Amino acid sequence: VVGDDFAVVLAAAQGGSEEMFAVLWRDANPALTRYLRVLAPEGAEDIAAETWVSVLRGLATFTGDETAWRAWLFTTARRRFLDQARHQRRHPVEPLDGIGVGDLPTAPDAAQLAMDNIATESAIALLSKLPEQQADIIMLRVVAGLDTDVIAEMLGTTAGNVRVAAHRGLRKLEALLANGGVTSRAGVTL
Amino acid sequence: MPDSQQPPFWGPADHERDLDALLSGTAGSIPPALRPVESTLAALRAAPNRRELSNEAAARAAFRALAAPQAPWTAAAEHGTVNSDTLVLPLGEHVLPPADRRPPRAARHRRRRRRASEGRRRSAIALTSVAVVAVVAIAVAATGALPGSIGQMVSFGSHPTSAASSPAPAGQKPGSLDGSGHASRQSPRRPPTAAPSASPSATTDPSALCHEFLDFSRPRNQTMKPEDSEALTRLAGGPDKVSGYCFHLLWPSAAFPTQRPFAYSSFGDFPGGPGGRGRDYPGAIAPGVTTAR
Repeated sequence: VVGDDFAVVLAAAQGGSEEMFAVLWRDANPALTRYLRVLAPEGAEDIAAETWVSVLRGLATFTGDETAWRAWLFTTARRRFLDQARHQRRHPVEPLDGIGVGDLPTAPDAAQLAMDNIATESAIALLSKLPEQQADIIMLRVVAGLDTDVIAEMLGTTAGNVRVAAHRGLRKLEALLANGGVTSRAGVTL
Repeated sequence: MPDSQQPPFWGPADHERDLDALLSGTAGSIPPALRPVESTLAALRAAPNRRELSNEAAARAAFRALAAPQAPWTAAAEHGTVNSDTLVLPLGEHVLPPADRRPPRAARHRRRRRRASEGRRRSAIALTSVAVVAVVAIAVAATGALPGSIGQMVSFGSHPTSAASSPAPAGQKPGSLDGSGHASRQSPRRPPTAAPSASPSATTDPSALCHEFLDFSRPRNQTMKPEDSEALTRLAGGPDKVSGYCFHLLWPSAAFPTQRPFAYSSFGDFPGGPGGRGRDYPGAIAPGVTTAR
């Protein structure tokens, strides 16, 4: 969260300051990436990039405080995600059955990335097991920091429905953790 | 479902408050059963790792490409590349109206669409003009006279010349050769008065006869006076040459250029036309003699 300086940072970014835009990006992109990794584990990076392109196109005309900024950012991300999901339904991708996991190309720092923030990776993997709407709402509450009313407006529903879905999601999360069988991708049992 | 109606699944209200506190991250005393949930949500709020910040360069590049062009000198100044040799153009954000800062894509679309519609409109106007001219020419060729409304249009609001106001003496044809062998052209006479219906009777003035011949404002059942018709036929050199004769007489420079004949073959019969016929009529232009336009 940028905090009290948000208005100054936003105005400078709208005026063309790359450094101030970087401040906004560093503040929001980790949450944005985590949110998208829960919704679309495979294409989160691409959707995040498309989201920032859309945001940059409308940056000069944006007005609002930090809550409105984050709501706009995550609304844009959600729309890009829905666009991609629609596109994948129309153009399904065949899985690479003939190629084993060990044959897939790996990034040079894959080992280092695997060691980074194992708990976060596990939490994201756990949230991915929830129903999509419940995971969506929990991520918007927890990661994006949006309150119930803003999320209700984003999703086109009532605040009561948002609260019910969030609580049900937490219940289910509690049940998953209580079962003790949830293992993260990194092999750590929560 | 109203907020006041809580489903039985939710359990006691204290537990719901705990869940709200977990979501907002302000949990004070968490029941032991919810501690795994709390740690999971705390992991989601953890500080960003290296991977999540690895694309900053790409984001900056996108910013320079999409948002920074409105103020290109700003990024250069931030990177310290502006020096005394750098020409900073006096075009800044403060002088640009908001409309100029829109993405250029929409403007290209609008301009292209407008250009296309103008082209279509011009093509339609040109085609309509050609069609009107063709219809008039065909009507003249077929009937020897223009239809009433078109005839009025072609006459450009001119009225028949009265016999008294005509400068040409009786018996002399317009466009006749003078003694030196050069073509002397009659200027078109278009007196502003004299109603079309008040046509002269038994006049020998060619202009007046032609105006009477081309007077299409009269009712259909009224024809030209027989004596005038005979006189005009005699002047034109034949009944099939009356139309061309009159057009050439009344609008010698506007409708029938002598060097570039009218394209329609039916007008080749008018005196001086490309068909070579009608040279015997008194107003014909001699071969090899061109009139200055």
